[in-house]
Amino acid sequence: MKTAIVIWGLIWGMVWTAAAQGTETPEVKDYRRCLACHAGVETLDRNHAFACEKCHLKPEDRTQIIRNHGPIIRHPAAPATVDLFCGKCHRRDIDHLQTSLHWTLTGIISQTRYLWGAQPDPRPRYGALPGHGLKRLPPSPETVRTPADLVDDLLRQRCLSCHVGTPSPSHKGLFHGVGCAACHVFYADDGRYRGKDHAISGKRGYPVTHTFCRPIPTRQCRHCHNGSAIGGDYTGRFPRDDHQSYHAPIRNGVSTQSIYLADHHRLTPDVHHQRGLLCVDCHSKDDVMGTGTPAAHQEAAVSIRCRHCHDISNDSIVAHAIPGMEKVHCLGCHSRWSFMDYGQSLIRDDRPDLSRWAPWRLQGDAGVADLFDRQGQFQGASTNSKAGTWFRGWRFRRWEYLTLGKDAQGRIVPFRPRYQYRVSFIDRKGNVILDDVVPQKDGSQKPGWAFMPIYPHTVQRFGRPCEACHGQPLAAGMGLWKGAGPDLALTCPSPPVYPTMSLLSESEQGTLLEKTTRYRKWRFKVWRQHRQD
Amino acid sequence: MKIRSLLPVWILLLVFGFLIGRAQYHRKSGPIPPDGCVQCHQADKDPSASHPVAVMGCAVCHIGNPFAGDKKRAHIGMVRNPGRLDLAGKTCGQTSCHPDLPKRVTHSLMATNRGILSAMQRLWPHADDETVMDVKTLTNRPVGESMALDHFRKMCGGCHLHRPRYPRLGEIGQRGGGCTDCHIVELETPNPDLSRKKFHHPGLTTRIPSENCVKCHNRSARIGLSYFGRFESEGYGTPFKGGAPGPRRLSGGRFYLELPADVHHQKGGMDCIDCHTEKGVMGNGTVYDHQEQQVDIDCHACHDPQQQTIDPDPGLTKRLVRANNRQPSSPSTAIFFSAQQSPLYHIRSDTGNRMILYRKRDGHPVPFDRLSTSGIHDAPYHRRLSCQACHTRWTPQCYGCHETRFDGAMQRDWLTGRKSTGRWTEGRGYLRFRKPTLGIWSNGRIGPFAPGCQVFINVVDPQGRIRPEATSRHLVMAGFDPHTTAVAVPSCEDCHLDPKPMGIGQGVLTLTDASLSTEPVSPVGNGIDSPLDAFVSPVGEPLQTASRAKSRPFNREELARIYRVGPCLSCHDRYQDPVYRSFDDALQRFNSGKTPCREMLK
Repeated sequence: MKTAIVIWGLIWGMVWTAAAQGTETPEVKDYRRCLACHAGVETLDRNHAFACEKCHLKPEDRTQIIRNHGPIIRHPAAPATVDLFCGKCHRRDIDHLQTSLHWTLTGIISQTRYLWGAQPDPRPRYGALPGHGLKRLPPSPETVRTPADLVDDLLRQRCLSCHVGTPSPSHKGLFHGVGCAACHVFYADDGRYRGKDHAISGKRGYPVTHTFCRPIPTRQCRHCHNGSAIGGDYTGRFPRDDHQSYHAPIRNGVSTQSIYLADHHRLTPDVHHQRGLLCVDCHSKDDVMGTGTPAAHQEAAVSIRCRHCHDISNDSIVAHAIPGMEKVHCLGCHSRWSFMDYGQSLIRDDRPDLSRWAPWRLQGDAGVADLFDRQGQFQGASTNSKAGTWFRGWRFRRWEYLTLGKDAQGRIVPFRPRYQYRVSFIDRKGNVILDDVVPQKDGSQKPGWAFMPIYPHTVQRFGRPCEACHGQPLAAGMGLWKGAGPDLALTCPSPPVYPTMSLLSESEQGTLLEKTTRYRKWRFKVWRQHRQD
Repeated sequence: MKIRSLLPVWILLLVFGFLIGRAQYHRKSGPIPPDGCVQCHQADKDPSASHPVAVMGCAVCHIGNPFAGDKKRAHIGMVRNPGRLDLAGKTCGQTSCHPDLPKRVTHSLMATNRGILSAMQRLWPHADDETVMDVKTLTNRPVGESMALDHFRKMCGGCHLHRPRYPRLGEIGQRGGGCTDCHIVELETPNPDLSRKKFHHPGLTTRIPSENCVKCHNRSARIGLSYFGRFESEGYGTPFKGGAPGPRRLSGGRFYLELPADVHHQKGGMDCIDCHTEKGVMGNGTVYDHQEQQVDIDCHACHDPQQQTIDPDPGLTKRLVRANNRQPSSPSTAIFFSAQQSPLYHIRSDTGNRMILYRKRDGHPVPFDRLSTSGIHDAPYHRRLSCQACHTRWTPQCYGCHETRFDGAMQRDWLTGRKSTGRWTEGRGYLRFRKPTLGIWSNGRIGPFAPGCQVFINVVDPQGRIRPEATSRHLVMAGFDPHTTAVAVPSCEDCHLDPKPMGIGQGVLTLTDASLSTEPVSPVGNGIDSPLDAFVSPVGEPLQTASRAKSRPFNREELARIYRVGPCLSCHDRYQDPVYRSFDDALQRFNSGKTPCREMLK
């Protein structure tokens, strides 16, 4: 079996005992004697200094000779077996985790299904895994008439690949464990094992060592949080445009190494990253692993606030004292840039020949990348899925545009064009079933487009200047050069998915664009402090 | 059977047809045909009103042997495309036709490509002993060692007037051909069947459609795209149509987005030739180094025109008006001229401050205003600004141009038409259209700049290894008119407080200890310390080369002067504001606490 499927543990003592007693004839290999091959494999940590079988074999398999790797559980913390192996001690954590978005992904699922007209409201109904009132995401119907018939397939193929329960794609930067191990066992970007177990030494698809990582490094989170979702920005990565001519093949004499199936611009990272803070320094267990109450979407799940560390109530910064500033989220000013990906065109192409998409093969998605070899030659469609492949193209992407809106707490934060879908579908025979269709929210005849709040992780000490928003129609949510054609119309925001959030009202837009006496006065005061510093 | 019985009818019809045709022909052209070519070839219409075949015949342009009776002898010495620059002296340029033009055109930039050649040889790896300043000389020269010229041959040399025209589909087949390159219409029939009577002869015109310009002028500065509101996009081909990347395509697998067009096009429907004069385009016989020297119009030519009472060449004016054949009447009022005395015969004064332009292609009147002098355009503190500094809506900016030469592969040399060793591929960093950088143009005025070009060169040997010694980079910013004119202008703050237009690049400016500094946002890396959109450091050190010897980014003092107005702009944001009458005095009064501004702090 090619998959030299390997175990990170069986009981040390037991194996030694078994070997010493010579209970087996030499020809019959008992795969419970893990350490016969995996000598040197690390202990997870002090609290988990178990025999291998305790985590990697079901109880019923522990008492008899096993003759191959088959019964060995490679990912004991995966959703299917987590209760059995981890649940005994970590019941409460696992119960909470099952309410978290890392487990359910219900935020993405319900927002997208709602916008594509597959459900009447964005209330959570389906999850990546069932439980806590959520049903498992249904399969897509065979016949496709509207985008709603395709949305579940899109979610499965493109969105859920970053789920804690999904084994990782084998591409640089994307390797991760499954279940608890997705976070708690550290994988290197190249996915190679570097520990003392010689049987798997240097092999891809294994953690760096067979140990729990504490603290969880930022790089670990980035195995999933690397694209335009939050995470890439914290370390200053902005994905380059997808077309191959934007992935300069050679830079400064060195071949470009892409990571996360993309290539990246290096922009200013977050000051917290520059000072060495990890994701987990701000994001507590509650943020990441759920609270026991199912979270509907990401904005509602994260509870950490700047003020938990930064008390500005008594500081002497003039800008902080401007009346009304309490309505502005810190990130309204202190975020430097964001992911503004305008106009998302998606096409599911079921035709056998997909070679036309070769120039766009690096779009951060393994399903697309695996269709082509490194030179861009089409390898043939993937065989594991009846459905075709989803390709994505943006209209244009910018980091410097920021549009403001109000989040669920009523605070003014940057908003981004999260969902500006246009959907196409070509069937197996090449019939264009959906040609550049804007999905419509259920029954409303309104386009399934939405701007959503974003909390850019691009914080810097100096806020952006007042003029970055005041007097800027783009920031006010009025678009760039109104009436300037279909492409720039994308800069005019659509309302967010949840009614608790909103774009700026007309009067708020007015306030932002108009230079009132009060504005002038405070602007001048801010200037004065700036100059005296 | 049936056919045989109808034979007499057929013969009769043919005879009649021949007679009628002959009669028609004679009625149109007079009794004696000008040359023998028409015995075999008859076009469906004349190339143009001023080139009537019936009077001029064919051989006058196409040479050949017009009175020979048989095809073979008749075609000796014949040229298919009389516009070819190497023959234009004998065809278009013969004494009784356009005698001055072949020389002028041959010396013009579209024929020499001197601007591109000089820039590339100055900025790219190149040895001086190979230096060549016109494309014709380069064509006749063996391939040398210069990387600059190798790149020119393969990536740039497809757009010049000496290039022969060959029947290929798309833009490529429409480029080149000398005079014909611009003056031909009906491009969609590149290969008509000449043996057929009534074949379609391409039309000749001086009302040159803009498509003829854009077939070449759509790369680098992309002026031909921008003017019409097209922005070469980041190559996504979105929205998808019909199951494929969408139809908004440009040549070379490129796509475009729709942005606001230049107001001259958007509101006036004007074509390239409505601004660009014959001297600006075809040159005046002088060999210029750069485009801006040959172009002889600027905004002032129309919006602040200088009246002349004496026309230096009334014959030319008359000829141009006649050739244009769309102007409402011969101009009776004083005539306006371009800087090089090209008659701007199509603009007239109207009442008051109003002017009218009659479009060259259709004579449609386009009313417009003269430059206003209401304290804005004549503000002393903005006297160095070009019109484009404020009235440019957007500028195509292509940051980072990654050129890789594969020594082991072959690529077609545009000049020879044959493949030669070395293949180039081109990659990009990122594109932008908003907020061009400003700097000092070679004419001393402040105007928009964009990358032009920021080249990172790598050479890969036949074994696939990088040749480190051949790796180089050349970061250049070029000043030019982006051709996206808008009536609306940015706010004061948009330039005085934003580091990008100042040339410092995207970021946040901070002033500490009276010294300006920036926290950049744009990408860094690739072996350079400053971002690609940083033309200059906040303290005035140039970070990139300017494309002209005399152009440059703002210097330290200029940057400080731009930025020091910033704090005042929260209140003093009108042109007419008294503090700008003498800003130094105002600042002094402010610093000594004598201005009411202090009240604001309470």
